[in-house]
Amino acid sequence: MDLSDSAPLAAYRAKIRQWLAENRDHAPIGKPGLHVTDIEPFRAWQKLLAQAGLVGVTWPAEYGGQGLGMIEQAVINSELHRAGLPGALDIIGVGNLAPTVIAHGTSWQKDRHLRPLLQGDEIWCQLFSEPAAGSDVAGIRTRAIRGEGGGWRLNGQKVWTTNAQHAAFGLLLARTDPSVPKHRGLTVFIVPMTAAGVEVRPLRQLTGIAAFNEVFLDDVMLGDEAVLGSVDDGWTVAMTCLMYERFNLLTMLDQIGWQPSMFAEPLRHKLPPHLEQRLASVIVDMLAVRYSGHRALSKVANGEVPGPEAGLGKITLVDAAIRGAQVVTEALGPSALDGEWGYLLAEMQGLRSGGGTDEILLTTIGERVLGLPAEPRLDKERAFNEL
Amino acid sequence: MNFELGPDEELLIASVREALSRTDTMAAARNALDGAQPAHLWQEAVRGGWTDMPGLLYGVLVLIECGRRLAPTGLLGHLTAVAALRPHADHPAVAAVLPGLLDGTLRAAAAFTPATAVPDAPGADVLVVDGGVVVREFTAQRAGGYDQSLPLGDVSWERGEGFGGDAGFAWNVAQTLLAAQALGAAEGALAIAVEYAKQRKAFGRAIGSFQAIKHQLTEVLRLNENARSLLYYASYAAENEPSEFGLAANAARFAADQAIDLAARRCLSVHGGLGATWEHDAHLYFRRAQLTRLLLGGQAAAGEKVVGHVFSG
Repeated sequence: MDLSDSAPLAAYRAKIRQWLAENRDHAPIGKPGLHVTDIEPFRAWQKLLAQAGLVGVTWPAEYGGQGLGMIEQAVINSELHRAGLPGALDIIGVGNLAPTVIAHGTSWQKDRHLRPLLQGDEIWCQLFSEPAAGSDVAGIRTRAIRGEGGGWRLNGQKVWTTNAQHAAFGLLLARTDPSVPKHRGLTVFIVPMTAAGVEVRPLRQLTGIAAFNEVFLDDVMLGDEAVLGSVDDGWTVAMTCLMYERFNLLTMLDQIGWQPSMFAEPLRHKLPPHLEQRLASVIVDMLAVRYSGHRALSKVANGEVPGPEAGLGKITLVDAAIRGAQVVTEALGPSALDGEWGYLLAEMQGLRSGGGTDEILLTTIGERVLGLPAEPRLDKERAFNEL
Repeated sequence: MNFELGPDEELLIASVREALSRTDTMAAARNALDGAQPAHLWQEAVRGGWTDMPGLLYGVLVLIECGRRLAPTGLLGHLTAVAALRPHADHPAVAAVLPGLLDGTLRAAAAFTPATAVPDAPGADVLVVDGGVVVREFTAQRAGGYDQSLPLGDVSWERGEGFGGDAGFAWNVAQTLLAAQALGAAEGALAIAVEYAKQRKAFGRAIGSFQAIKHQLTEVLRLNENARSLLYYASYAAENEPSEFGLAANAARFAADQAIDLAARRCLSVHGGLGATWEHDAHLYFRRAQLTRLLLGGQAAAGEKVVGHVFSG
């Protein structure tokens, strides 16, 4: 363990810190939070960050990245956090989807898509979950059927799609061969959200706003160039995306601009003594999320792939945030529910499922990390269309 | 910045495990409850060079391993005392004892007033009180026998010599090391519970394949990993961010208490009736959990300090 920056990393940190100090007046007011309603100021900020080399730092230089490691990304995150500034708007696109395109895309796909995504000119969304397939995402039913003369026809429905209303493109998982077991007959497509037959319907959440959406696909016609990776090998592509999603989970606290002290600040000088231990527990968990993220990023910087245990941080974060908001509202009284704290309570209920429900995360981590025996899986090795 | 363990640390951990494995510390902990002489592995600590650790992280890693096997080594008290003394090596009162403490010819404990239930006090040669007073002559009355693998003493003394130490720093070191020892026990309890859940069959399946069991154990893993992350944070802060050390150390303590509490209870319950027997190790971890949360101000004092540090930060 080397707990201090190396000389080059310290210089890098100083450079980032200086740039942020010089440019902080261009940043949008307020935190991006998990969901942004007025996106344009955040889009402009992403562009400025990207032009300064502060977005997609781990991407190869040929696609507009810096060719640096996760450790430099962590430095940027921590400096943004330190300065109280938001990061890129399109966290999902920059963090999960583009790296998946980099890993599996053709050179045409990379040339076409990566730079506009990096600059925030084209926002991306992830079209995996469906009404009948969430935790069991390999059970999706959206069908892609190859046309006689090439190309594909897509029909189906996606749901819980963050940013679909803003997105130029979506990364979509579809079933291309139902005659084989469920993980094998899948293919990933890059779908223009403006294509004929794509309909985005906002889904109003318990927060009152519509941050995510339902996406309907009705005879959407795509060319062969829309396939990402190999036909029927979509599970491999989806798993790459899932692995990158774990990076996002690890650094979520910094990316959404939350400080471990956020639930203490409103209670300064007015914390009732009987709430002190509960507040302490919230602060402790928020700190744990932060430093668990540091640990996992260090592993990644040492060349390891982030494991499913990244999901533990999300469970802790959601749980702590709910308890934190409850402590704050208990101290401040019922009217505190009408503002940001009531909103946060509601938002966290949604995040409990986002990026994996607690239950599926605990199952996966129990099996992969603790090595506990797997659940019986009744659909294993059976053709999808015979289930 | 690298927040994970490197080859040097892994090597240290392996050597500590090897050294501690030479004694059946779990059996000793149980037999001592029936009146047998408790094990004491101070000589292993001296042989391993653990009495003189460069940096808090190394002490943390050693104490995690001690906790995992409920091995009494004296290091919880000793390393706290040494950390308090080391910055004042030139003070005559410190210079008189520090070389002996570092090479292991002397063993120290660290008391915080009112100096009751002081870890590792029985049999210690030197006492450091409130991180700033060296006491050479004292009595340590053995306090309690609920967990014989964690020796405690109620301490009294006539006079000591002040050396201008930092009471807050010593307190934070003590909290960090206690947390490390607790995490080790929590990880030990989880390991035997996971092993059992893989082997034990019910309804034609290993019980670890049932979500009710799997999720409970993974929840323990979550709390353990949280505590471990905070222990690294405390180790980092002790040397690099002194202003955050108090927050980090008390947060680690709080988290480790939560972890060992859940780990010990889950370990017991996953084992069913077996876990509630005298011969099984589960109750030894359970005893450690009950005792740990009461020591050095208890979990609640750590929580109070966490909030205090955030408000004053």
